[in-house]
Amino acid sequence: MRKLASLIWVVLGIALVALGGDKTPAWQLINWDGPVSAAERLSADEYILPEGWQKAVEGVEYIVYFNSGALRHDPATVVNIKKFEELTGIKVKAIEVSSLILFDKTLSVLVSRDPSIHGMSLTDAPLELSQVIGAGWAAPLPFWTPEVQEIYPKALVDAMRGPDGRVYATCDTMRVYVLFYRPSWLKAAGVDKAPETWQEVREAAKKCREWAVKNLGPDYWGIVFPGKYNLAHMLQAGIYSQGARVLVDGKPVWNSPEGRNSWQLWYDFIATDKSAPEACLGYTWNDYQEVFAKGKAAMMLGFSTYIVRCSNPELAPGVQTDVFGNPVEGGDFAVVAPPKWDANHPDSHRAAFIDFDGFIVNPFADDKHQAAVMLFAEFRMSKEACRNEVLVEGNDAFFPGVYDDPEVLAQIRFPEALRLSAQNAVMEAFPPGSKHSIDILVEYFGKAVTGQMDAQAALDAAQKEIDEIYW
Amino acid sequence: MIGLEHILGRKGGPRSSGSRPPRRFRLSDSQFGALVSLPGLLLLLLWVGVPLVIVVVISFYRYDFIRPTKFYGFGNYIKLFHDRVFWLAVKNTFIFSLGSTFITFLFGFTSAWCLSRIDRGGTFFRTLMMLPWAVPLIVSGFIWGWMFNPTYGVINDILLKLGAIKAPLDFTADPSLAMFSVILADAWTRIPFLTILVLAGLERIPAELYEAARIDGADIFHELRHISIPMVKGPLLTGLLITSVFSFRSIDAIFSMTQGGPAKATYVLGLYTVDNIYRFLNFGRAGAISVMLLLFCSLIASAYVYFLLKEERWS
Repeated sequence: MRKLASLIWVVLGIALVALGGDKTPAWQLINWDGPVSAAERLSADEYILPEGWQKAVEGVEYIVYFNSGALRHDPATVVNIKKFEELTGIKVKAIEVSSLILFDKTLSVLVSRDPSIHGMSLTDAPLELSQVIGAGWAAPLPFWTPEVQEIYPKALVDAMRGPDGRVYATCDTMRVYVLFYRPSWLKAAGVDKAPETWQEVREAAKKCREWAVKNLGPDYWGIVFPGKYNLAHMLQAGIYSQGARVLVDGKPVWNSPEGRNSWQLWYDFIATDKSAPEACLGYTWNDYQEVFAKGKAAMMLGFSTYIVRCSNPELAPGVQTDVFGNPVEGGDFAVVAPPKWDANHPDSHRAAFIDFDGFIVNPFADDKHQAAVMLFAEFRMSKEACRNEVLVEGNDAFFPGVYDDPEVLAQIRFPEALRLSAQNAVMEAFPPGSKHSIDILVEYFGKAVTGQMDAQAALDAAQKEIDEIYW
Repeated sequence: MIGLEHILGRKGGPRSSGSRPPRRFRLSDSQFGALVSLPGLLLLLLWVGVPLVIVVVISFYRYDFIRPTKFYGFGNYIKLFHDRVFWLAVKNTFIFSLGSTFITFLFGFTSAWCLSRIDRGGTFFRTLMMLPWAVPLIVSGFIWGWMFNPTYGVINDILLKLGAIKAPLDFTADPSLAMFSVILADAWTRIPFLTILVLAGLERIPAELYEAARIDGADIFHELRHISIPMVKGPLLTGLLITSVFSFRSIDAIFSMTQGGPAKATYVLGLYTVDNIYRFLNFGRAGAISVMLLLFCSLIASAYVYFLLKEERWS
């Protein structure tokens, strides 16, 4: 009898283990595409939660994610977190991580398979996503149905797609580049209209620098740009302005004829024309925009998000007056779409790179938390959340339909420039190893500018080393 | 409750009369020392030994997320020895470490010597001297980075206003100035440590020695050369060892100020390791660089320890 009882217990135990092993992951308990389709839920003025979400996240009290930078710089994120908490009752703990070390922290979590961080932002998503997805460090997101994919910019969706065709990320924030300029400075320097081509930018930068040296001081410049990591974006702008692309057969080729022109252009700003400071070599994506905001540069190719910053007297005191010191309502700056290469090119070549922060779900978190973070990720790409990104923070909207809203359009400064920039913006998702390739580019650009190498020889040497990465 | 002395067997516990004394577990001083060191040793093994073994193992793999991971033998090391950037980083690391150690020595020793001679307000000056030590290296780097900024940095502003320069200096963008700038920022936080060590050594020197020297007609420089320096050789060498090894593998100031630029003028081995881990995701190569870094640090430490032991033997 005792033996029989033992046998029954063993069989029951095995059955329980077998059943437990077959447990449906929590996010599969959510009916993402019905009865209201995911596309419809996301496009609604007020986001609609999917059916079955309560059961899926039962017991989840909070989710934790790495936010890129401090929340005080992300007011739209704060608003969206609050809304999500109201909708679901799930608290969102955003850990503020400097963008300088965000990927380092993210990588540490993923390599150690730490389940305590449920979601993570990737600030260099176009470069990082391919490696993160390839390593199996991002969970595929079930709400990316074909209809949902249709709503969003195809290039961005493709950049978040894995080799298996599934989409593994959402877009936290996106930024297009626009050409910022100081109207009073250009006018004082004898430049009558905003530059529309890179050749015009070069001439205008020279004139602005000459005027500034005589009237403002030696530390006022015609143009500033980043010479560190985001130098690649500048080079890309020059290449796209000629209608070309960087990736050839999926690998970066920077010394194409268009690449050579672009390289020479940025080199000339510093080394030949002296209209940009050599300090550009040390500028990060943030530094050079700060220089512009401090009123020390006449032009820059900057993120559209800086329109809001430059409009704020506290954040950008240097551009609140014209170059003669007279106050200007809304700030003495304006923006136009990125320049095309020269007058022979069509306006569709007024293009630059489109940058975005990706958001991934930690596949090593438990399934209920994964489900909760997926809900949060989905909410943040909804029309409602994207609208907040535009109105509260001045970010660009990942959900393009936001711009159909007249109320939104009425509150945006320079809508035509932004529309043209977004329309022409180019997204190229770089293969693994691309961060290394950009590191090489930056080094050789520095060598050229500081006179250690001829500009074109430096580009060729850089390309040779870049090719070696992909051997 | 069993007392420590009972375990050590130095003082006997109560004995029952007429019976054989209980066999006590006796430990010599060195055995006891080894016993109490065990937990620490185990922790060290866990936190240093195990990761070290993992690093060494990884260094023998091609692990770069571009191609499939596989055993690579000495492939990473061979590639490293043919890698232009590696040798550049080695050179820069030695320059950075030597520069930082030299400046730390110069200011640290001078400060300690001055502080040892201050009679009034010594506590105030010593506290003031320690302040940079309280600043994390990475923060120090950012502070110096802002001060050196050619557009809005205070150093350029002062130099311009004084008329010492006509145009702002690109401290972090000019390859020749960038290394000097990061060395200065790194040394700034290390000076207090050396000052403390040397000061402690200086204060142990009997005042009679100085008095006797003065009677013999020695001036302040004679005292420094023949009494102060020889008598603080031990702490000074220890301080220099720690400073040089720490600066050899330090990246904080460089990371926050130049990130290795311009054109890799300040690129050091530590940064190359970090880049290979966190930016290039080339874990295999990062492992090989780490092992090389460890070897270099061990060599420096060995040299110092050799001189230190030699010094002790002489003493």
